[in-house]
Amino acid sequence: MPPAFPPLYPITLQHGLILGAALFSIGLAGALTKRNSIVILMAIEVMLNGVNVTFVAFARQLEPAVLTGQVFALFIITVAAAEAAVGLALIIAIYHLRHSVQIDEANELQG
Amino acid sequence: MPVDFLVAGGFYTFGLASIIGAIGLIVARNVFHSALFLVVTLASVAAVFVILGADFLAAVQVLVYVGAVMILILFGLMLTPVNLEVPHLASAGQAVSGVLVAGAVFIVTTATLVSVQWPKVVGIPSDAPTTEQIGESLFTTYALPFEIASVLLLVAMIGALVIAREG
Amino acid sequence: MPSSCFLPAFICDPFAYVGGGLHGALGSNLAEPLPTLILSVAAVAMLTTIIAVVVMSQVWTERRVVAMMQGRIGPNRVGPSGILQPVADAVKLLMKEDIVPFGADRAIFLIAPLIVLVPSLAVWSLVPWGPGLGVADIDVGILLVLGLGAFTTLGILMAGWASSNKYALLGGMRVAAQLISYEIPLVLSAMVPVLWAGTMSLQGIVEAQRGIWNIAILPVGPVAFLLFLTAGIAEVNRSPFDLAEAESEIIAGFHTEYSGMRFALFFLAEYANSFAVGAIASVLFLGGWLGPILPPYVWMFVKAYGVFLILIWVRSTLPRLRYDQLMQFAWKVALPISLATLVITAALVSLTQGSVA
Repeated sequence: MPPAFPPLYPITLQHGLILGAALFSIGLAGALTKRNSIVILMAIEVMLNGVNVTFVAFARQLEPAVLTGQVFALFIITVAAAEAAVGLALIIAIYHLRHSVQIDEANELQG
Repeated sequence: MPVDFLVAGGFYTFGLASIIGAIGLIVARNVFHSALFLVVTLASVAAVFVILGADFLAAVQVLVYVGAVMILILFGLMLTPVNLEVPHLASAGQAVSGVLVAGAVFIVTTATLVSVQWPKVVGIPSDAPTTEQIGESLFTTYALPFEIASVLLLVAMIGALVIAREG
Repeated sequence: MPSSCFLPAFICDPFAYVGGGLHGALGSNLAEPLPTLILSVAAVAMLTTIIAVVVMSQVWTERRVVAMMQGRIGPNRVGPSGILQPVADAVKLLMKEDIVPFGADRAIFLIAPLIVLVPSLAVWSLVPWGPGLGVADIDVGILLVLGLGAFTTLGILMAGWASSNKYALLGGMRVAAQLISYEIPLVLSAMVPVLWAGTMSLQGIVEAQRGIWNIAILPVGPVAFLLFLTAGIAEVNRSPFDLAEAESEIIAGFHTEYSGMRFALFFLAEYANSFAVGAIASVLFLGGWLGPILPPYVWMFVKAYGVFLILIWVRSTLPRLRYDQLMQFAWKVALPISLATLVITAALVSLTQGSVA
């Protein structure tokens, strides 16, 4: 079956999923191209938000009675907080060592 | 159906705003500007949550991420040299290949999303308040993940302290 | 109509009375979505006007009361007892030049006052003024109020950074660090009434206090109220937590470079926020619009203004904290106490109200 784009209106499951995919991809592009590790953390937050949009769209359109998707999104926000805490601690450790947060300057393990 | 129309209008407005914010985050040369674009994205995503009937999640998103962005800005200001002219993007080859990979991910995902036959909706999407239901499922069905998440937060806190302290 | 109001309907709930009449009059001429839309816009315009008037009264009250406590007279030239002084101040500020400093980040510098002001106005729209009387009553009201309050701080940080002035930047960074520290006890102490009422809707929290006000629930009520008030003062950067604009250390902090109308917007936001803290504190702990004889919105206003008077009293009594004292208090005193309060409340709720499931 050839991919058929949903009509622009009304809003269905696919619209939410495409928005989630777009946010995820843009965040991925940011994480792969930026040099400042703090901006990379921000890009990862955008990726996680894209996933959350996907979960919420699923929760609304597939099983509105159970809200499993929203609970998952809550867990993702929690894990994102933990990830940001450890990530920032790592950035501080790197800064102590190299006096820079540019990610391509931390390359000792390159050999 | 004016309600459907409002939903569509809101979805496109805030969806577009979130995408613009995400692109601005990458394009901006300055950490502070990146952080402000991140705020645009996060707030628009919260609005999309409201449109998709997740009111509790939207409030949590606002409450959690405003503080998080603030911390990111503080770190960005403290650890990034302001006057030094450093390229904000990685080497040209890496930048191009990064964008290509992300574009490929988007195309493949979208193609899959629109071609899959999704199951039919069980019940009617409602805009009723979700807080009570989420609370109940957190303490019954998802009690174990809830506990694990709290332990994870504790571990992350201790880990972050240890790593940042040793330097 | 609430059972506590024995006055004519027009006085008890004038907004519903006038609004209902207008809605009927408009509805006979226009199709259905239009009358509701027009009245909503009118309600927002009215709310903004009310905020401006209340802020002016606050400025006058604060200057007179502080003067009284310091043995001075205070503003007494413009109008009877100087009551028109805020109007004169506003006119003066509006006529001043709006300067953008050289080297400032222009777009962010111009937009920052709005980022500070808009959330503080939005908080007002969530405050319940009586049974069913309020711009919006949403299920997660208190969470949204706390989140919007944090947004204000983001605007202050933007202003400090965009000014391209080291004192402004110091002020902005102080605000950010202060917010991150004091948001935790603020949220935790606000959860005490939420646990007790079993809802996060502000109307629901007020309704749950029909028997007994939350501040009177021993032993947690008074502690949580004091914590909320302290953290609330820190959130709106008022003395003794006004390190962001400590004039003896960093000139005027984040608004050093602002002048004219944009400075007036910061000023407006600060007072609007102070009143909002008073209103939310009264909703959470002092029974909101509940009270005998007088109409509900009068009670709400009196309580919120009373809390604002406490803020003035605190301001003229206590000296400004040093920065390390501020942080010590947040993390070593306020946080443990608020956690303990929350745990005790949870135990009390499960003992007295039984299990929900």
